[in-house]
Formats: sequence, C-alpha cells, structure tokens
Amino acid sequence: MNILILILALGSMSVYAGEKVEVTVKGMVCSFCSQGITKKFKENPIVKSVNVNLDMHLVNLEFNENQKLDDQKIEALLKDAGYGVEKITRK
Amino acid sequence: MISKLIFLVVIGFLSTTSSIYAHPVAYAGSNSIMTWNSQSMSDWMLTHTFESTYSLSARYQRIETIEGERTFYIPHLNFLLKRWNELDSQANVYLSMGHGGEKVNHSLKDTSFLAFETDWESRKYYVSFREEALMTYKKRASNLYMSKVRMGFAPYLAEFNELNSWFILEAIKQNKNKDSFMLTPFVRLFYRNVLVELGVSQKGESQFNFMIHF
Repeated sequence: MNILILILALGSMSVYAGEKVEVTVKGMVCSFCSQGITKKFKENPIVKSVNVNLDMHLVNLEFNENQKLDDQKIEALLKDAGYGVEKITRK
Repeated sequence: MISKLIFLVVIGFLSTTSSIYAHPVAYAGSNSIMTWNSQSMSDWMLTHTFESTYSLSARYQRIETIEGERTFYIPHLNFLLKRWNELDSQANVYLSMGHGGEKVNHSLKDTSFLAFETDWESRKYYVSFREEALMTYKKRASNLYMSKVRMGFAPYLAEFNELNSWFILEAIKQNKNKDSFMLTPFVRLFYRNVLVELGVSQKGESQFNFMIHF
C-alpha cells in the first residue's frame, strides 16, 4: 500500500513539475550579459528559475507548474536583453 | 581618495541589482551610472535604456585643457546601430548625439556632442574604438576631439557569478589636453553589475573608472 502511494505521489510530481527549457544564446560573452538575461527572465512570473552556463552558451529555464513560455516569447525576451537565440530545447 | 574608492566598490558589490555589460545602450528598462576620473578630467554619465536599441544619458564632464578647465553638461541620445551576436562573440556599433552647454561665467553656452563607437568582444579578448567631438559655441578651433582605442584580454575565463578580471591597454589622442597622447594600462574587475577599472598612464597619471547597471 505504501509503495502504491509513493508511486502515485512520484507520478503526480512529474505531471505537475514545471517544464524545463535549455536555450543556446548568441552574444552572451560575459557574466554582465548573463546578469541582464537573468533579470529579464526573472521579471516574468511564469519563470521559476534561471541558470546560466557561459562555457556552454546556455540559459536553463524552469517554469512554474503547468506554465510555460513559447519559443517566440523566449526569443522576444532575449532580443529585449540584446541577444540572439541559436537553439531552444525542451526537456 | 582611496577610502572613497573602497566605499564605492563596497557599495557596488553590496548592491542586489542586475546588469549587463557596460555599453551605452543596455537592455530595455535598465539604468547605469558610469564615471571616468583622473587628475585631468572627471566624467559622469547617468543612462536609461528605453529599448535595446536606444538610451538617453545625462552627462557632466570637467576637462583640464591647454586653455584651462572646461565644464560641460550634455544630455545625449545613444543608438545601437548594429549588433552582431555570435555564439562566442559580440560586436556593436553605437552613435551618440546631444546638445547641452559649456559652463562659462555662471551661464551655459551652446555645445553639441557627437560620438561614434564600435567594439568586438569575446570571453577572452576585447577591442574598441571611439571617436568623440564636443563642438562649442566658440570658434571652431575651440572644439574638443578625442580618439580612443582599447584592447584587452582576460587571463582566465570566469563563469557566471565569478569575479571577472581583464588587462586593458588604452590609447587616447586629444587635441586640447596638455598630453595630446596618453597610453594607459588598466586592470578591470567586474562582478555581477559592478565594473571597476584602475590604471596609471605612461605619464604617471592615475585613473579610476566605475560603472554600475541596475
């Protein structure tokens, strides 16, 4: 019985966990750039977390439960911050 | 001077605001304070970026020239004319123009400002060129012109949220300064939204630059 409850709980977590997106960004060459991009995404209440990896040119986004930003919106936010998008991968 | 410098650095590092790189045009809705200071000049600029392509600055400049000290108050617009975003680098072309005044006997005399700037940077290297003109109410011979070239490299690649260090060499040619040509090596440190540069020219003149974005 306990195992069944655990399986159901884990299952519901995966259903309601926020979507994760990996964005490969063009022009992000320093931590100053990363700060601007992070701030721009954090202004959006849908975005739960923003993590930047400069070496890989990646911005990892996690959204709140059952919410997401479409590719056009992500590109628009990055354009507002002054950067370009190479690739968007949804996980 | 040193205590003031330390105070500014500490205030900057304690700030919780965010930033991007110290360009005349940053991301939409951002603000910046930039200042360049040496024995022969003091230059302060407050900038608000409306869109990722243009910003508005309020600028104060005090310059020691061969004709004596001159002070300017210039509001100007900055335009990002072109940006090339590549995976490992970024290049930009900017144009700034404005109209303000030169302080003369407690009044302001018409002065126009024009600047062109271009840069290229990667995580390892940096190069920029700037041409600037202050065209005064006086005869044309009193106009101030400056050409600036900067080249730099980062001794290590810093990740996000790490302290970034750069070594920069700056060459400036000015038509009205006592030293018409100045070569200044700088150490640049930046962390989060704060950038500090310290340098000493070949003539022994020290310079302190500070920038914060929020």
